[in-house]
Order: sequence, then C-alpha cells, then structure tokens
Amino acid sequence: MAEKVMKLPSEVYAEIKDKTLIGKRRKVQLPQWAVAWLVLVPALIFLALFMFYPIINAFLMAFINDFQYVRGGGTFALGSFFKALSNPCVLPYEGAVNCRRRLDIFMSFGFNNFVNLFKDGLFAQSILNTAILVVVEVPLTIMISLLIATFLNNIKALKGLYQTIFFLPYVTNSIALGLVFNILFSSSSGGLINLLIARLGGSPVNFLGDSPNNYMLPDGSIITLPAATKFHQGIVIVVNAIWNGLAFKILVFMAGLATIDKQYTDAAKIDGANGFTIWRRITLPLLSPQILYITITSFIGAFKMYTGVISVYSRGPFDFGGPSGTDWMPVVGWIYKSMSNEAVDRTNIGIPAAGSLVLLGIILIITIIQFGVSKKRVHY
Amino acid sequence: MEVRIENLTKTFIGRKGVETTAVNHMNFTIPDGKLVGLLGPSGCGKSTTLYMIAGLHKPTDGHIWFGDEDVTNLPPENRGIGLVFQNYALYPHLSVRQNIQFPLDNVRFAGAFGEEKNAVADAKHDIKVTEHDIDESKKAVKKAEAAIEKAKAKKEKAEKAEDAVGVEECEEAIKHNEALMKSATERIPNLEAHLVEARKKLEETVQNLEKAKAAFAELKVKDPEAAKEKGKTRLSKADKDAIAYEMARIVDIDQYLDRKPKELSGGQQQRVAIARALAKKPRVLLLDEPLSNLDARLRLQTREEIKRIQRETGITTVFVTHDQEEAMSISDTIVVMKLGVVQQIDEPQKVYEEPANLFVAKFLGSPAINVFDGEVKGGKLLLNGKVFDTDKVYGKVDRKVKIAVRPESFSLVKKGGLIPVEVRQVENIGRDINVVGHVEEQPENHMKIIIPSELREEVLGKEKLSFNPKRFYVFEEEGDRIK
Repeated sequence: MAEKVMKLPSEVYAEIKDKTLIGKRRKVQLPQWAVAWLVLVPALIFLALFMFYPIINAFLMAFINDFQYVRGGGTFALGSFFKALSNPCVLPYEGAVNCRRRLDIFMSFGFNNFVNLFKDGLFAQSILNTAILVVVEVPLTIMISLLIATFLNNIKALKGLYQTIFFLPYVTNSIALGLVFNILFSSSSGGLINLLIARLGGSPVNFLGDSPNNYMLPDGSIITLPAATKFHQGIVIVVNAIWNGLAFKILVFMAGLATIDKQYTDAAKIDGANGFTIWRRITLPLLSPQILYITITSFIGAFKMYTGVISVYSRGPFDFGGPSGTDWMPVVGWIYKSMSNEAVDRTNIGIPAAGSLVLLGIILIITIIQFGVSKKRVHY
Repeated sequence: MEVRIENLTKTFIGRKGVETTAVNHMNFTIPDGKLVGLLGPSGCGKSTTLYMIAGLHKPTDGHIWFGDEDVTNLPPENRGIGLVFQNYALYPHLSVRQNIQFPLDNVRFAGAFGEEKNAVADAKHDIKVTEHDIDESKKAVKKAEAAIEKAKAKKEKAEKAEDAVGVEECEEAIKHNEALMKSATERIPNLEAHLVEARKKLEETVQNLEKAKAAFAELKVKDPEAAKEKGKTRLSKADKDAIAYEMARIVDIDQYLDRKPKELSGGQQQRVAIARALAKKPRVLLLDEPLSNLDARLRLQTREEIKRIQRETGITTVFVTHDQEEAMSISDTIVVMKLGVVQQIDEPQKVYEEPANLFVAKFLGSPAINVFDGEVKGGKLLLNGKVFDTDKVYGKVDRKVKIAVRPESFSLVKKGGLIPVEVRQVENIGRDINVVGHVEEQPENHMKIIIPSELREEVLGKEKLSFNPKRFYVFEEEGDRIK
C-alpha cells in the first residue's frame, strides 16, 4: 500500500478552486416564503381535513335548527347539503302531511339546539362535574408538580432514578393507570387503600362501588359498606388525574428550572434570602413562562377529561359512576354518549354539536383570561 | 473590616475522583478600607478564593477572618458581604429599585422585646445544657464505681491465682477509674452551683421580658407611633426607598430606578449590581471580574467609578481580574496568583518594578517583558558569552539563567551595547516606536522594544541595533528571582 502523503494546503486550494460555489449563482432559487409554504402544505392539508372542516361542520350542525331531519345518513353537513340538492323533499316528522324542502331546513339557522341542550339536566350536571374536577385538580396538580420538580432539582444523589420514576406515568396508558387506581381503591378485600385505612383504625370506605357491598375487616368480622358517595368517587378521580398529569408537568418544570442561572440563587443567598424566599421571589417568577404554559394546558386538558373518569370505574365507555352511571359524567362524556348508540335520541346530532361548541367557548374564554392575567405576571 | 485569609485551601474532587487543588495554602491580610485585586490567568483560583470569602464555596482547609470574627463556617447570608457577579446576576423580573431593595427586604430586626426574648431563650438553653452535664457526670460516677467494683473482684481472683501482672493491671484500672470518679464528682458541685445561677438568671431574664412587655404595652398606649417604630421587625417601605435612592445616586443610576435590567446598557447594569451589593452596608464588598463584560471605553470609565465608589464608601473591597492593567490601575494591593498559589502580594508599582519571580514579571506589563537566555559562569552573568553585568556576583554554581528587560527599559547605543538585536520589523504607533526582533543568536526569544519616536531616523532601515538595559531582572531557570 502506498504511503499516505500529506497534501500541501496550496494543492488543496488548487483542487477545489473551480468546484466551490463562491461567486456563482444558484440555479433555481425559490424565495424563502415559498419554501416555507411548500414545507407546510402537507401539515396544512391534514389540519384542514381533520381540524378546520370538523369545526365548521360542528358549527353548521349546531346552528341549523332541524339538522336531524336533513342529515343524509352521516354527520357530514356538507354531504347532507349536496344530498339535499338531489332529494329536495323531506317529511319533518313521522306522519307529517306537508313535505318540507331540504334546502329550507338547511337555511333556517337558529339556537334551537342550544335551547334543547340547556333543557337537558344531564348536560348541566356534566358541566358542573367538569367544573368541580377542574377547580380541584388543576391547582393541586400544578402545586404538587412544582414542589416535586423543585426538590428533584435540589437533590444530587439518585436524581436520575427519581426523575425516571416520576416520568413513568407519562409512558403508561392512561386506561391502565386508571385500572390501577380502581384496584387500589377497591372495596373488595384486595383494595390497598382500604386495607391501610382499616389497619390505621379507620372504617373502610366504598370508594367506587355503585351498590352496598360486604367488607371483611382484618379481624375477620364482616361489615356492610354503603354505596359510594359522590365525594368518595371524586377523590379517586382527582387522585388518578393528578398522578396521570404529574409526569409531564414535572418534566416541563424541571426543564424550566434548569434554565435558571445558579447565579440568581447565589446572589439571593448573599442578599440574605432564605430558601423559601428565594423560591418565592426568584425561582417562581423566573419559572412563570413554564407555569403559564402548564396552567393553560392543564385547564384545557381537565375540561376535556374523559378517560380519567371512565378508567377509574373500569366499567365501560359510558359508565361514570353511580347506579345510573352518570354521577361524575364530564362534558366530553356527555357529548360522546349523546351521539353514540347509547343515546336516547340518536338522530338529533345537533345537540351534542352545540354541547361541544359550548365546551369550546368555555375553554376559549378561560384561556383568554389566563393570557390576560399573564401579561402582568409572567416574566420572559 | 479587616479580612484575613489563613492557610486557605480548596480542593475539588472531579467526577473520576481526581483531586484538583484550586487554592493552595493561601495567606494574606486585607487592611480595613483597602481595595485589593486578585490577579492571575484563568484557572488560577482567584474566583474560588472570592467565592470562599463570600461563603458560596466551603474551604477544604484554613480560615477566613473578618476582623476578630471567624466566618469560615458562616453561611453567605450571615457574613454581611456584597458580591457583584461577573455577569451581574440582576434579577431580570424585578425593576432596578426592587433589585437594589432585595437585600433590604431580607433584613430582620429583633422587634420590641426581641433581645429580652433571646436572653430568656439563652438562659433556658444554659439550664438544659447544665442539667444534661450533671446527668452525664452522675452517670460517669456510677459507671466508674461499677468498674472499680469489677476490677476489685478481678484483683482478688488474680491474687488468689498469684498472677502478678493481672493484679497490676487491675490496680491500674482501679486507679484510672478512681481518677475518673474523682473528677466527675468534683465537677458535680460546680455544675450544680452553675445550675442555681442559671435558674436565677432565667428568673431575671423572664422578669426583664415581662418588664419589657409591660413597658411596650405602656408605650403603645402613650405613644403609638413610637411603639410602632420600636416594634417593627423589618425595614419600612419609606426607609427602603430612601436607601435605594441613595445607592442609585452613588452609582449614578437614579434616573433609571423604574426600569427593568434588560432595558439598561451593560455599564448601567454593572452599576445596579454594585448598588445592590452596597445597599445592605456590607462589611466587605466582593467583585468578580467586574469589568470583563464591558467594552473598552466603558471599562476605563467604570474602573474609575469603582475606585471612586470604594473611596466614598470606605468598604474593604476584594476584586478579581485577569487584566493586569485593571488591577494595576485601581488596587491598593495586588495579589498575584498562579495555579492556586500566591506568587506575590504588594503594591501595584512594587509588583511591576520588583517582580518576585519570572511568572509575575511576565504576567504584568504590556507589551510583555522580554526574556532571553543567559548563563552564570564563575559568578559572572553572561549573555551570548559576553559579560552582561559587571557589578554583581551571581553565586558559585555555573548554570543557565533568564535575563528579563521591560520593553521601555532599553536605551539605544551606536555600537557595542550589551544587547545586540536583530531587527525584524519597526512599528510606528504614534508617540512611540516598537522595535520587534530578537537578541542575536537567540531567534526563539522574540522581543519588543519601545523607544521614543525621536529616534526614528536612527532605527529605520537598520537590520541590527545595539541596546543597553536601563534596568534588568535575572531569574533562575525555574523562575525565582536572583536579587
């Protein structure tokens, strides 16, 4: 093999002299905005198909007064509209004498669906349920994750291990997590929490069961637990939701804490601040962008809560606790149930559509309020 | 406040257990009200020293004294220091005013009868400790008694067995335990007397506290304003505003009090950092590379500002820098460091004119000092085989040495100078001329000579020049100065 001879720099320059692009024009030069659009097109197509169109669709369904009479076998308002052009007449209800023009029905916009929606007591209850869960869960989960993130940030030994432990729920299926809590809070003999309560001398609680059941105490005597109260079910739902959401929040807060220069805390220490003062006056304000982000996403997430409730009961997609299966029905659960096979009036798709718009409105208003508050409180 | 560094050492242990000594048995004293510059190249341990004085790093060994107080184990917040970080570390979410007031927010007073309360707590603590000591002593007596009994029994056995060594051992044990018992028994009356005294003291302090409470209650009725003033545990907003304004005025940023740090220029941020450090009237002010983030013009200006502020406030100040000019221009004393070891501590001019070793000579001065190889033969100093110094005897051992001459210490001669120079380049820099070249026969030792521009005609176009040194230093090969 020939020995490798090192080239002189001048030789290298001579070789590449005519090959570099210095001083030459690029042949095809798309402007930067065009390149940007080109890259965005696939994403935009999917967004339009699966995001923007469904939103418009939901608006149409919700605001057409008698949509249920003109839906062409599906929920696609536009498809129904085209069908209406070819099949112009429909009987508004069974046994009606006069035929109504489909197009007329399409054109009669109004708040009928919303009026019917608010007449539905179950919807009002689901709104209340969701509101309670949001108000209890969101502040708790943010505070707990902040505390854990702060402490995780301060320890040195085994930091990686603890980080992994707290991150595990994030990679676990939320239905599976709910099942775990269902078993933990079970009022049959295997329920760990009840076992603990009994050991500590308290009386066991029927957390989730919808009917009274027998419970064997550690001493062997058997007592009958009453059916689960709404309060006890709520505890399990909230605990499950907190545990479920903790991992991601801790991750975000840890990332935020890592960006805070240690010099700020050192400076504060020298300025005579104790640990809590440093946390309250330096760390928290500097973490405020992350706190805002987590607050907004937590509120949105909590308003959309559904799996967190059904997974805790683990009795199917439409059982939200209690004998009627509606004790802790959330808004999303209500919407899902009212447009499913379980619905009483399955054809009336306009009402759940109106319900989803109400949910959208609530989330929108709360997010806008949060952004408004954040202008004063968040320091970038 | 005088700051005394005693035998200070800091060893960091790296990931693989490798020890690095950042500061090695350091000793120096900073007189009250002086400005001291810690000078050295990066990695020489000067910032570590500063952080140890601040309390952010814990020394591996040694002590730090503020006056008569040993602060080595005091946490930073209790040391009464002000620290200005290299990149200022101004709290970005607080306004300039809030930044300056932050240290003041953390100030706590004892309150209306805090001192009396503390006295009661102290007395209670004293009683507790004394009671504990009495208990311990009594236990010790019992233990010694038991041990004596045991030893006596053993001794009897040994006597029966006619084991002389055993008997002796037992006797020794008895003696030892008897001594222990005696000292413990003697301790008890003293401690008991102290306990009586301490109980009396507690009564007294409790009475004092009651009195103070009563007096305060009376004052509350009589003069609520005064009572409020006496009872406060932290600074009022008005007081804090007044101090913040005064500090801002001293550093000349009073018109920016309501701005956020990022709305200020680098120099202004720097001054806010100083104001914040000064706000709580620190006993010692520490500055970590205070000028390194400023541009050249601002650096010059801020340098003078720091000197002025230090003079105005009279606070003992330590500052860290790698810039020798900065250190020379504002320090009262310079501490030159290299790899954690102090090289020289002196006034700036002294450090420049009388460097303790080759490192100090090389580190101070710009352009750097010129060093070339010489040798000592028969006690005479030679350069390129010619006698360089006729006045002095340089020791008996023949050896290689280093000769160093500052760039401005050359005088041009027509012919036969001690330093023959081969010229490579002549640079015109206005007031002066730089002659760049090397000593004949030593092309590896580059040198720069500064001569006044009047001599321009005489050096231009010449390939060889001859110089005599006005002043020179001789160092051993390993760097120590030969005086």
